[in-house]
Amino acid sequence: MNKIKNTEYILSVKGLKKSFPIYGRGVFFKKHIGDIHAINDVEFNIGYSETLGLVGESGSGKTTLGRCLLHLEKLTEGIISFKELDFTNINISQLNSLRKEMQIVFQDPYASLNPRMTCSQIIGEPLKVHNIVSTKEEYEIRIKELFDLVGLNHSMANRYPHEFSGGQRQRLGIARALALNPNFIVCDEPVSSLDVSIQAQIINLLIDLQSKLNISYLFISHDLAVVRQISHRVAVMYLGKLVEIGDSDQVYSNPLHPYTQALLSSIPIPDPIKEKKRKRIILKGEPPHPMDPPSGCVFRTRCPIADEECSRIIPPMVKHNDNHEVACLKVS
Amino acid sequence: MNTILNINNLSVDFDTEYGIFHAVDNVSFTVSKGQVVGIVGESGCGKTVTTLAIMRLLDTVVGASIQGEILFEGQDLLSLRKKQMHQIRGNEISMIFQEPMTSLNPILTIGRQITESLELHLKMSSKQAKERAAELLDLVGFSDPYQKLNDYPQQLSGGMRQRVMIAMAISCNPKLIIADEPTTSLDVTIQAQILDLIMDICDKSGAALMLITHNLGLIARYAEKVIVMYSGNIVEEGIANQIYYDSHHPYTLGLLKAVPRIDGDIKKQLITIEGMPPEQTDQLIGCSFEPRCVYSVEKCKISTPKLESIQKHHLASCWQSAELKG
Repeated sequence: MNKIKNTEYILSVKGLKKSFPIYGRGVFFKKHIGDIHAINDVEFNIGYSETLGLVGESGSGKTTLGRCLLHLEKLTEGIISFKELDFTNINISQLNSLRKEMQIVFQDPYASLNPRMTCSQIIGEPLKVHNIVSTKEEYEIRIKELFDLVGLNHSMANRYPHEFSGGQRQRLGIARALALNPNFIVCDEPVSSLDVSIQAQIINLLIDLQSKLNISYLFISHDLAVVRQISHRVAVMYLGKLVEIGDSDQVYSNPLHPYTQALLSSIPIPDPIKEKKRKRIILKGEPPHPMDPPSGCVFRTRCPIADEECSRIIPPMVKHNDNHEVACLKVS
Repeated sequence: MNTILNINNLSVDFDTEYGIFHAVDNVSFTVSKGQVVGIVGESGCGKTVTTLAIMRLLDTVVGASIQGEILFEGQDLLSLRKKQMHQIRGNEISMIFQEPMTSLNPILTIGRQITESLELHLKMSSKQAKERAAELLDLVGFSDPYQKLNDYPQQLSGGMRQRVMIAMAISCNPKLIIADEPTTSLDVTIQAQILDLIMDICDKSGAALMLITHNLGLIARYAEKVIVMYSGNIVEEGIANQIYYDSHHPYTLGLLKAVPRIDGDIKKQLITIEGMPPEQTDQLIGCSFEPRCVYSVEKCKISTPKLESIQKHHLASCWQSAELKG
């Protein structure tokens, strides 16, 4: 692992690319017929105790990006450094020790908990795998701590996941992620399968835990309102590319990229009078297939202000001000 | 206004191994001609079961028992025979389902699925039906309708499939369209396209729309009348503005506060509704929302509140509704 001088950020990503090969039928062997460019040249940083919200539509590469950061996917190209360590090419034993510091909370609390394990086994498994606790008492104490931390009753420790509601299961998922005291957690759509009233409880829990334990989050979601509530900074992704990144207030109050503007304008506000007066930008068509992205700017096929220039030049990320960057040729 | 759908004391119970499950408990409401009614509530509150009961799709469900009246243009749907119901379902009342991925038949072409109801209800010849199906696809925004008729659902994206569902729903010019979470599985930019399309069609054809969703924003944008359901009951009903600005039920108030929004100031913490919805198998005494309610008093625990009029068009079922500030 190489040392990279960088002290402000817990995680920084440079030139990240990830593509998945597609194979068709060949004469003798499978034939490589193309690539899905899930992530294309993405660059960002996450600070200590900071939440970076990552928004985008399905297929934009948000989940793949989260998985790449945790080394659950192999990168095609690029550098990821975590706490000043470049861990692009590290071996398995090094990776295992890093895994203690970075964890993930999955989207579907119904599928991500093993139905044959009790809750305490689920939460306790990371403790055993990483030899965090030495005695049985310590193990029990830690499990009780974790239950308290996420607001679950310890008396339920020996129940199985199916006995819990969606919100409680998501709490279990969070407890499992917290078991090893990580500094960085990828939250992959943690509240999108929950009801409004339960969703608010989980968001509050995540915010609470962050201030107690100084964790950094990458909060992936397609729901911009949820992301606004929890994030310090927001990154907007479209077809494998970041199109806008900046402080939460700035992106929401002054969205610069036409895609961000359209996204924000298509989210309804629960306020009938305001909502009926609001101007909306409705995008035409659907996102192109990531196997065959458009030339130049990836958004140009649906963009209301695109012109000929946009099909030739790939717009670079340009600083609008200190805390706000955007990749669009038409933003001055 | 002339009422098109009038539901009186509808109850749906399911006999499960854990006891009787009261999915819908004594619900009454009306839908007027051309009106857009939004039904909002969390999962398990009975909104989908209500619509399935209206469409008589619970008939074959083992252990389901339905009581009450569902009057569609004065005719009680629950007393109709199977064959008579066939005449109405898909013809006068049609439904747009939540999951465009699973509610289309994967082994039939889109063209076949749209023409089916045209041939059945409007007695069109297969050629006429094909023409009409292409017209419908054109209407819902396909650029090459004739070609798409021969496609199978899996060849289309989620948004496109939902458009096909809409084309099927409007094919016989229904008087009532029931859209059950029509955009929940779609991306926000596509969601806006689809809902605008549905509204546009309802506007032009004069059909009434029941929009069922858990998204309070969507209801605010589209609905004239709003019904809030909780645990199988209607807890509040009224004109959109009454519900959003002058709510008289703590559950509605709680929901409105718990939704993260993209406008206004960011609150440090979202205000939550503590606890979880009750299991509807228990025979509840008192108000079903009482265990989670911050305004609850002794009376709420012992007697069940009825839906009572607050002002014109506005109903709420809460003993404390006079104390609440919207």
